[in-house]
Amino acid sequence: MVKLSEIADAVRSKNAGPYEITFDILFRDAAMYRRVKQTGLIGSALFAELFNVAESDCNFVAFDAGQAFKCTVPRPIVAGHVGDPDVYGAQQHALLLDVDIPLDVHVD
Amino acid sequence: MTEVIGMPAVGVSFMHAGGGNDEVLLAALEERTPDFIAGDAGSTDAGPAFLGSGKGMTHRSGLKQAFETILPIVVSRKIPLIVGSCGMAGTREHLDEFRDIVKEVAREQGLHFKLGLIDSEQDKSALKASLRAGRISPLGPVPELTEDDIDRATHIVGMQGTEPVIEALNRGADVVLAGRISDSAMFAAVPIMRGIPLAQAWHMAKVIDHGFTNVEPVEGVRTSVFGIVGDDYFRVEATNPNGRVNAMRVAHATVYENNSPFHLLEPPGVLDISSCNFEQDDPRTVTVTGSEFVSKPYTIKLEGAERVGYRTITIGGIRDPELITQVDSFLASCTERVVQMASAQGISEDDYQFFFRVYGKDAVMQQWEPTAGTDAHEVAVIGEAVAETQEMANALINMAHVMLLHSDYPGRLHTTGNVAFPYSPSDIECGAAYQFNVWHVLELDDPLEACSVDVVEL
Repeated sequence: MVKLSEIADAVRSKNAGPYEITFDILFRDAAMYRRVKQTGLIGSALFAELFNVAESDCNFVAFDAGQAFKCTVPRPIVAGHVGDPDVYGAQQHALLLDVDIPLDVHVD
Repeated sequence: MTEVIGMPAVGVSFMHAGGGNDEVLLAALEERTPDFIAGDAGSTDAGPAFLGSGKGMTHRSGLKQAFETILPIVVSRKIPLIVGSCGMAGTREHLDEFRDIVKEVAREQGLHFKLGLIDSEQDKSALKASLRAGRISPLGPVPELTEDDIDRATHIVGMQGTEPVIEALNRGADVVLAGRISDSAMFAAVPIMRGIPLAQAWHMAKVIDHGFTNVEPVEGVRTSVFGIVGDDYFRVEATNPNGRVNAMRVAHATVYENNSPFHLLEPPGVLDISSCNFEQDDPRTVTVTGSEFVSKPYTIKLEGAERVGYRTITIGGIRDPELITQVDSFLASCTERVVQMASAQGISEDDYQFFFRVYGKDAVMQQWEPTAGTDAHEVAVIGEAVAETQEMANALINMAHVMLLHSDYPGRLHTTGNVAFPYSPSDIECGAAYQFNVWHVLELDDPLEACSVDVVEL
């Protein structure tokens, strides 16, 4: 097992307009991207569970040309509405960092 | 074969803190003379306040410095400059502010040129007619628009495509200022005007709008990118000869801030990059081929915001470990007391929202926060009221700070004050609070029908 934060080169969240938030997980190393993709773990089911949304509301894509996974989900509170904690949606990626990936990877 | 070279306004920011840097800009222009320079001055990322109020985000002196840097260069070198989404939201007020700054700089520096102005503020009665004609639909997980939403919005802008920019340039504009406009449209307009296919023009535009995202950092090298677009490809090249552009980063720049990496909705249709190839030519250059564009009925995005009330906040820190362990129950009892006191003063619960945020616990992720409780040795508490009037919000926060400071709790070893307030006064008036209430698409017969284009001689 290895944590996503130990093998991904970028894990980020950002508004995709005020009603949705999009998560990107990027890899520099093509082989690592392929290995992670092959585990089948990074997908709409994972995002649905982590972010408590219906799987049908998760717009998930594995973007091979960019060696990236991308998932867009509706925001629980519209950006900037009263009570919203994160207007830019820039700090919601933290939940992804500790996701365990079932790979045997040596991390320094 | 046509090749068009575009460049983001390198070294100059029309957003954020403003300001400019001649050295970076001039160094880039020594390498190549682009066919145009474009600068993005806006976004909805910073929230609804700028659209709602018509006030800008960037301070005027920073903006003025940005124009002082770039205007003499583009005017003397005869490079068209396109700046869009002025003042973050691109309302008429924002456009007027930018126009006045440009006029001031032109006058002070004795610059003469034609200034194109694209106003994308929407007329409410025209929008209602479009709504009745079934030409407005939600964009994403958004409720259907109503006439009431249109009436309540303080500003509604229409995110323009390339056509108004092309119209202004065709009418002789040397510098174009646009209200709300698609980020990519600013960069796609000149290529499309010169006959570059939509797919290559829009994809190049999307990528170089996020200039620095494409760049591999190199110690001591400051660089942005040129976008060089032809009939069936585009290249991204570092402006600095020692700069590096990375194929993977170019692919990632395409993905940035979209809900889908493959399909990007723009006014005339959808850019499809699912069959693209990102090729590293040399450390400085990446070539992209295979972009496709599927034309659709012409649409523009509508963005609107309404005022929801007036906000007042108070910020206090807690360091007492006993209070930190029971912060939730303590704040719940403070809230209860505030509601009771407000009610006794004739302030109805229907007329305000009041709540606390606890930084150091779950204020950032709220219901998405997986960590229960807190191990922090100190936490920050923000009490927030949004009410019908500023006076009411002030009254609520006044009661809240007193409750925060002096309410008793089990195990209290002091009676001096429960929180450390960093400010005097401890209550902070934030003014009007806004929320987005229009996020829809409007179908147009004519790409120029939801804007006005003006060209003035300076």
